[in-house]
Amino acid sequence: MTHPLTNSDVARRAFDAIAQAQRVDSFVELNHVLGKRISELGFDTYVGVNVLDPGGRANHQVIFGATHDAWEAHYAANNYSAHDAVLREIISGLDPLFWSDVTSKRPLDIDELRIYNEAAEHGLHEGFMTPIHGLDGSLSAVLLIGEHADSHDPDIRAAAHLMSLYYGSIGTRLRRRDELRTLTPVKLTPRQLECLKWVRHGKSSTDIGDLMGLSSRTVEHYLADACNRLGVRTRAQAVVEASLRGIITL
Amino acid sequence: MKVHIITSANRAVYGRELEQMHRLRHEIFVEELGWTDLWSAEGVERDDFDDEHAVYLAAIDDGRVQGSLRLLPTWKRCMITERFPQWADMAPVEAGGGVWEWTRWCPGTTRRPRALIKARAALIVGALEFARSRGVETYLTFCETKFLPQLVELGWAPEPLGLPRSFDQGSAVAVRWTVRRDHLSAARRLFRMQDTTAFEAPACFDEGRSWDPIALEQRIFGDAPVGGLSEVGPTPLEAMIVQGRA
Repeated sequence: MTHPLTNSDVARRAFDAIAQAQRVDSFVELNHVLGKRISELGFDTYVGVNVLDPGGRANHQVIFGATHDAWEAHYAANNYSAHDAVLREIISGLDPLFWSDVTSKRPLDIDELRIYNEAAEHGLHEGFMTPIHGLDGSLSAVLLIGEHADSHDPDIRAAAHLMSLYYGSIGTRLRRRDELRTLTPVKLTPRQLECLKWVRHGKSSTDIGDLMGLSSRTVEHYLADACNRLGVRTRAQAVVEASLRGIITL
Repeated sequence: MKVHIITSANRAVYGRELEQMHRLRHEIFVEELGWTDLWSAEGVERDDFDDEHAVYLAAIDDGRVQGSLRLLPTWKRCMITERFPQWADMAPVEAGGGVWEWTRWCPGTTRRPRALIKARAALIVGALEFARSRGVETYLTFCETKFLPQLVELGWAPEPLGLPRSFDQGSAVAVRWTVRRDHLSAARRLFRMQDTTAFEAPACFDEGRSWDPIALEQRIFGDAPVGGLSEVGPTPLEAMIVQGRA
């Protein structure tokens, strides 16, 4: 029994972008694939921010994304995270929120209102913040900001929510992988290294076997081991990973 | 803590544990999460998907059910296609052979945070061991949207089946993910659970022998240390719960 598929354009584009985003290997790709779709909703700024560390302590900073340099600097210099109404709502709840949701929910105090006004002076009139609860208990968020965005269309809200969740969680995975790369050195044996260098030069297992005086099966074994040590699945990824770690040069 | 796999073949020896499970589900879903449409006067939560096809993963420690998960073989029953098709309107559900649905995810109560952490990890690892034993290719679920980034964090690459939508008590979304060979080892590393977690008691029908499955489990695995954090120190997940941020 099939169910008719909805063809909402916004939703469809979000889904396609998310499918591609699951396969990216770098922030450049992530921003190209998912960031672009997000900006089509009217948000030119999209960033992943830390909010609380696993212990519940405030840890507010922009970690990745396409930031608005002037606003980010102004916000940090004035320590606005201490008075940010949207941040307060995000910390205490589970739902994502438009900036305009907060103002229609409750009156703002003078410090909270100042932030809204100064954002507007920077040309930033609408934002959308999505909380992301990590497995370790940390709270991060994805913040989208633009000149204006349609906060009334439920499909746009849902698409922004969904894309924010993936932008944030995939971005976090990429960052963790980058950090791990610098923290855990990987050592390959001389044979594994040599096999990998031949792969980088486009040689097949049989070729490599001939060059090194080994059976192709032994070569496959060395390369499989190298892939395991580098934490990748294919020999092509192994070449990239090894070069990013400075083990071989491209 | 081990996760007992309870099916129609062996459920005859789990009468007490199944009752505990239904009570725990009521406590969590109705009392803690406020899903009042699941309320029952007897204090047990059961619906018509609790039939002979359902498989239960029950995390058992100190002789009690600490958390549970219900898996449905989607070629027999599927909550998404039967109850929530409008939430899966952007991608085909593809229920059928090799596809199981995670339902009634109930890792425990926030009033006992340490047990919650252990049960959550055990159920996840148990579900992956179950997947290996049954050849599960795909898991589906209809869950609260807040879990979606955690599925990405686990490395499962969840695909949404529809946009997230609001219901009375929050936001939910239907997703599916392909179970890959490396998911189990990655989860063991993340949760520091190197030992086998799932335990499936032999089939027991009316005419056969009967036994205490928990005693049987302990005879095979030995007595596990009671409660407490892992000896090498708290995992990040444990630290989180101990801080009170469930």
